Amino acid sequence: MDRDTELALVGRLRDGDGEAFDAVYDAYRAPLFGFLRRLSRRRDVAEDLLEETWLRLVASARTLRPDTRLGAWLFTVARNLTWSYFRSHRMREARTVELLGLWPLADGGPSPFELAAAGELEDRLERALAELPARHREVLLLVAASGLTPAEAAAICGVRPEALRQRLSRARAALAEELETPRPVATPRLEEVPT
Amino acid sequence: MTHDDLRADPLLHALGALPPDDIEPAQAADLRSRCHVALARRRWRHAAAPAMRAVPLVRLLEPALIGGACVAFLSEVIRRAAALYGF
Repeated sequence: MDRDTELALVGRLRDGDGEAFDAVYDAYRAPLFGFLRRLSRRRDVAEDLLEETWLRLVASARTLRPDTRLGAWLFTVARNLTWSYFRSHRMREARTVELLGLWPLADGGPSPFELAAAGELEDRLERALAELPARHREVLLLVAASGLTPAEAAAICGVRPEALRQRLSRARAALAEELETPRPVATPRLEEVPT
Repeated sequence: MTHDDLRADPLLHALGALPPDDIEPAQAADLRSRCHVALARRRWRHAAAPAMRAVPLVRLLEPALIGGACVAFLSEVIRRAAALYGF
């Protein structure tokens, strides 16, 4: 979305234009959901946070500044909601990392055949990303997966660009290390077969 | 890590190439329609705001009008009573 289109959409959103909302919704829904799902590591939580993010946009539409950068605004809200969720549920990193061993197959995940077919690298990358601390995941997701510039990501995270670059560098190193760490192959759940 | 480093980094590039994720189409449609309803409600509230702002003025005048009518009624009663007694 180029800047002129974005500015026009902001103006129309401020007037409560439903078509402008649709254009923004179609452009950002999937990237936002991907960000939320990978940051929270839970699909159901990501769905709730996504809904709250869009409802907040609607609630704030009239008061948006005319020069608002919609992507940065939406990712900031989504990111802040996720951290509020983490705090309210007291999700301690150490504890959740332990639980993550159960995660990929806990919600009826893909079969080993599907995993192989879908590409081993993608799967390893998703798993490695999920193992990282949330601060590292966040910066990687914002800059690498959501396509935001480091300056935008810094504004979203509320840190200076230099601090974000350092955090990104550390996160990237942690991800590379995590990818090199051998992981036990997940065993598919046994399901009871009715006789 | 500069912006050029980011573009050239194969690991970050692979992260950017992860398959997109989205909610179910039915969920997406439901959320869209709820946002439209909320947007329409806010538009309506904004349009109705001037009329809402006029309400306090009517409420301000109402006791004054009622009070004025009471004073007029009482003064008429007193005037007639005074006339009866020849004042």
